[in-house]
Amino acid sequence: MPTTAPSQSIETLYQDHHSWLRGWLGKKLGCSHSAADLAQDTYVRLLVSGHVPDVSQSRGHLTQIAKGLVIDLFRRRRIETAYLDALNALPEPETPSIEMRALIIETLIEIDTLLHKLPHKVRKAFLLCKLDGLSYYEIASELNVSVSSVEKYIAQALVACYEAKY
Amino acid sequence: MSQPVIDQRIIIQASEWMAKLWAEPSDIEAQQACETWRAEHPDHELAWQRLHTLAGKFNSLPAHAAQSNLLDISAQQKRQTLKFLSVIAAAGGFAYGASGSYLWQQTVSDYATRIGETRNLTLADGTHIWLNTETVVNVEFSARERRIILKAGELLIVTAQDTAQRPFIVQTQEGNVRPIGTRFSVRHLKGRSQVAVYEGAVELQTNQQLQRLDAGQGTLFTREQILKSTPVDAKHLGWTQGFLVAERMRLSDFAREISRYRHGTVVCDPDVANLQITGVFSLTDTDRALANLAQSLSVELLYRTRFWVMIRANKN
Repeated sequence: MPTTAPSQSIETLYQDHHSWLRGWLGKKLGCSHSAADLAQDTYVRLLVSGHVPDVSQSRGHLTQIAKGLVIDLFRRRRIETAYLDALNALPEPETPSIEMRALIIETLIEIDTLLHKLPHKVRKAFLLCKLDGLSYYEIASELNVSVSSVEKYIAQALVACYEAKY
Repeated sequence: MSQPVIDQRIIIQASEWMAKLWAEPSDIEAQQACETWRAEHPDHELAWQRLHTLAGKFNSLPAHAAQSNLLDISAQQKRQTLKFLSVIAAAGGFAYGASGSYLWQQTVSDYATRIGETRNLTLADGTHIWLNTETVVNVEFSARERRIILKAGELLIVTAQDTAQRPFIVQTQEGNVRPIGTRFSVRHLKGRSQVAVYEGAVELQTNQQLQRLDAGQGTLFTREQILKSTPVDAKHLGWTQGFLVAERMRLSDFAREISRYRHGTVVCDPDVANLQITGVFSLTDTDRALANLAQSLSVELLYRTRFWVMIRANKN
């Protein structure tokens, strides 16, 4: 008997757990299409990571990846919803084309990904600066902090953006 | 993957410099001190360039999307799950379910303009670009190359000499344009790209062909072929100054051109489509441009709404 748990191939992992994972995601999401997509993405992510878990850990490992993807999906939906709400406020002829909207949503999601781990005030300061175009002075009064803190927040956010990307 | 790794201390310094310059954009002394710091070591410059590119993403959103509350979690947690599900279903085309492979999409549009807006920018290497109406570009500068991806609309580019000698590439769906010390424009059209060279030369590359285009020449190209070049005229660059310069321009072409700069459409009655117009017209106030047109030719304007205008023969 081997003392370490036997390793397995990704094919076995797929055959043994794919439909279970899809069911698990289906219950979480209440939607079988999204569940099928995310189950697929889970395996792709696993494949890319090059790490196949031991047999005893298969489901734990798969659900850990899948949970991250569910959070990403919710984040995406949250941003899409907020953006579509903002679009509703625009007069109809100014509504951007479908392609343009898709690009804008991708950009918003990417920006969110760069910043989502930051403390609330740091993140807010950076967004107020770069998206709303407020000055440090205006941000300081909005967040009720000093102007020099704003400068520190901005630098901190830039470091975080960098680390998220490189 | 194989990107050079930079010491974290340098990243922190570069971030502090950037945060300082943003605080006081007109502080020349700070700017010079920052430039000195950047010149001290190639890694300083690379860190700066990378941050600059990242920060550029935040400039890329049109005004209606550039709002921090769109990404404000606390404001959004109040929303109901049901609501987003129905919105996603209604939105269809670009919702998650349709895209599937979103994990590896890296779509970043660095700069964009809305209808009627033009924008003038200086990139990190000193290159000047002008974005015409409804334009989307990605700017991807790396240690190896300077790449601009034109997603929609039209661009004028005046390239700068790069200290690092990196090649410059403008990429469209149809192919690549490589400038050789030059001033040129690239426009994205349905299924084809248009390029016009005003100074220097460019090299056009599609899947099939490679062709050099010299100053004063312009052409259209698709993925398959590059058409025969035709002469170009600097008057086509009036848009960078906010003007349309027309010289014996057919009225139907005039209507199409003005349409690019306003919401809705300007149509031209076939009866007057072949009339010719010469003059300089405002692109920032297209209603005024149309009124000026009506004054100088015997045509009248029929406004159904602000968004639908017809140019037709003057009935009086």
